[in-house]
Amino acid sequence: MAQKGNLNRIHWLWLLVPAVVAAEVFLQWSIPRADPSKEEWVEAAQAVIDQKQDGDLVVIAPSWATQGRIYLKPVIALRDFGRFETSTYDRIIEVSLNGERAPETEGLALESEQDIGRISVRRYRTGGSAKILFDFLDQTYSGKKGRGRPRGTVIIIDHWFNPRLVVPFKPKKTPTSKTYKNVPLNGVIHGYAVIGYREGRFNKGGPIKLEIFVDDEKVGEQMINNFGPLEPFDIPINREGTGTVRFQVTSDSHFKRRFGFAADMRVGAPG
Amino acid sequence: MKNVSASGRSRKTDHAVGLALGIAYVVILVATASEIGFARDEGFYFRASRGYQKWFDVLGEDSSKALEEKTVGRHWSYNHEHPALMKIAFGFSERILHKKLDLMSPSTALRFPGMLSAGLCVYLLFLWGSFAFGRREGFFAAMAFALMPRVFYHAHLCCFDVAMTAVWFLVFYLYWRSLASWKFGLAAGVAFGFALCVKLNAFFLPAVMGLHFIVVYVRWRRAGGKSSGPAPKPWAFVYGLIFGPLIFMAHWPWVWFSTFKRIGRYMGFHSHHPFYNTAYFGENIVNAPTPVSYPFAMTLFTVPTVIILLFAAGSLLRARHHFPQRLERVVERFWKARGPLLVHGHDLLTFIGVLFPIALIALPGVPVFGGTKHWMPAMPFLALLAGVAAARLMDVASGVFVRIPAKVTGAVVLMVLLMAPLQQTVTSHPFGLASYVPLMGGARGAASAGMLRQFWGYTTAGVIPWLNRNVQKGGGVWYHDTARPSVSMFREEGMIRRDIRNQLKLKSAHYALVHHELHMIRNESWIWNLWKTITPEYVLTYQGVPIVSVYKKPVATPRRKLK
Repeated sequence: MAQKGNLNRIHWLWLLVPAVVAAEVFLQWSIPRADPSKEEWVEAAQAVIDQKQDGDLVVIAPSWATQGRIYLKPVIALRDFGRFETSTYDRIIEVSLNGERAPETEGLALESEQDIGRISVRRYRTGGSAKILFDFLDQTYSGKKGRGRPRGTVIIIDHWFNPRLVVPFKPKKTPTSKTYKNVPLNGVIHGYAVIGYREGRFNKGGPIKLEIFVDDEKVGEQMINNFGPLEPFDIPINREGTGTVRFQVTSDSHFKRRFGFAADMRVGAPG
Repeated sequence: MKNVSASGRSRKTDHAVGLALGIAYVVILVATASEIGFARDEGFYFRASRGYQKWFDVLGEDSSKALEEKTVGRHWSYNHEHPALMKIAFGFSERILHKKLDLMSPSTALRFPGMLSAGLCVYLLFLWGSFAFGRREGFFAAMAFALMPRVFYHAHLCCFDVAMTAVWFLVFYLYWRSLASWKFGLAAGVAFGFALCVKLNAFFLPAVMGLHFIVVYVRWRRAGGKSSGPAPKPWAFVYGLIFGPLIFMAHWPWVWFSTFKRIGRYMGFHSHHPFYNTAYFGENIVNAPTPVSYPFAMTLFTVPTVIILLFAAGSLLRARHHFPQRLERVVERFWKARGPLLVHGHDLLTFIGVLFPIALIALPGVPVFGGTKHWMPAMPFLALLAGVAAARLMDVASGVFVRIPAKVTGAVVLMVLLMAPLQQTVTSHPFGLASYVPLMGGARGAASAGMLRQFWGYTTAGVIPWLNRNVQKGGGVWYHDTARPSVSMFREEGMIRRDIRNQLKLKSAHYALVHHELHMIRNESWIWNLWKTITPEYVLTYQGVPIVSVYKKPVATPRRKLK
């Protein structure tokens, strides 16, 4: 047994143990208290509704706080939820829990901030959004828009577990395509193509090829591999008038995979 | 070795105290069981246990018919990927404790043998700790094990993991004692037989013990053989070889016919086991190679930090006996007093006990879907070594507060040390699998780091009161990851309204559940697409982190009739 006289300096290292106990007990007590109350959520949601305009994106930080969608129902549309990027939004309203930051707002200029208990409602300007001439998602089936997803589009989950609103395809050896008429051609076709997530052990099959035709002339293509990086495609068209745009999908080694694309004809800021 | 513990006190008292601790733990488990929902695998074991009981009914009525291949096949084929011992115990427990004595609900009775095995483990820990080191070490080890939030969760279940932990620990203990006694060798052999009947892990025991025995034997020879003391005895291996296969074969009627083929199927299931999904730092692990760091990191993140810290200190305390002299002198300054030197490689055995289960799961080809349960057999040894440091800390405290009686100081230190594990266990209940240590931010920190929040769909119990209040009469619920037999148990026990249907197709359901796991967002996207909404009606949270979301099918707008 250690006697008082025998205690050396190193013995005091044992104090680390009660210090860890104190830290653990305090943190375990305080962690649940970081969760905003219902009243705070309601008030924060009202603050968002009050300032939300068309062209604004609402995000929650951290992204796992999905209970926030209950309160923010009127301002988070499925269309925005399945976005690929934020370049089409003028402003971003961030509903932040305990000071968390959403990756979408990194580096943006803060316009306003309002603290409601443990929630902060912050508004950022994106620095100019792209001008969309034609959105292929919205026009997939005669352009029915609304708070829900446009007809003919679905949300698929990409390999990184992000929801993506796309025009869906089941890739085959024979080409399958979607055609859009009367598309203004004086811009750039900007978009993304993704393979939907399937559990790794089922993730077989070769690359999927997306080809883009304008008035039956091939203007670009993209090969998409399983677990390949998510990269946008930009195909400058810059012609006068309108034309027909066709997206064609094939895969030599097709397996039961979900595939989709989202694209628009735009001028101004790329992705 | 005499029949006294390291503390020099009677072994009878040790048994009595250990038993009291074990029984108290079982009582707490029984009292808190109804709050934990039925996990996916439990549903399958409920069904298997009841199915096997039907065979015992046939055996009681017509034994010759029961022993026919056809009858055995009919009753024992289901869930043959695991041996039958625990499922037989679950079934008899329900038969006696629920049906005959009406002491418990069906589910608690089915879960009871698992809880008993947790109690056995607590008892054994106290016994081993007291025998090897002293009662303080034994007491702290038993409490530390009981108050690991994940152990507490698994200890409630009608599953095999805690039973495997208990029987694994028992075999280790009996094997160690058998090195000096043939009686313990006999007991170890029998215990090994029962371990084989619990789960596949037991097949690793001979290799682990064999490795330890070789080291101990070589050390004995080098120390001068007989002149240095009695040789370590290999009785455990001899009796294990006899009783292991015997008990295994006897307990499982399914392998009485087509024996080699069926044992091959049992083993084959595990050697080709698919990799289920698990989340680790934002990545979905579903294929080899799995991260080597996984079991080490998850142990750090889920076992209360004070226990980990004491385990590290306790390991150093024990390991210093094996350090080269110069290094030991450095360590000696820190630790001062030496503990009792133990015979027959006790320290080596406890280190193997901690490291082997964790190292096995760390192999890149081994699936890691079981969260922490697959290396739970390491936890009693971890607790044992933590107990060594806890007792040392009591000594240090007594040295500081010399005017206060040592027993009082010791009790206060114990209370302080167990405060954090107790708080974490109490507050994490019934969300054991979502529990992460506060130093990593608890469940919130784990969610931000992209760690697994749950598996097995056991958290459905938390949304049942909401469903009972809100689902319309005769409404259908899509229960997502909760298995059908588990949902049936909710209905059988009257937890969920009887008129609420278990809807297996999302399309036909009125409400849908989502158990939040990284890869489950794919199932959630089915709801978004089909019901055209991303807004849940209700979200069950733990520490503010979503665990289960409940979606409601939007009411269809009636189409205008054409005139």
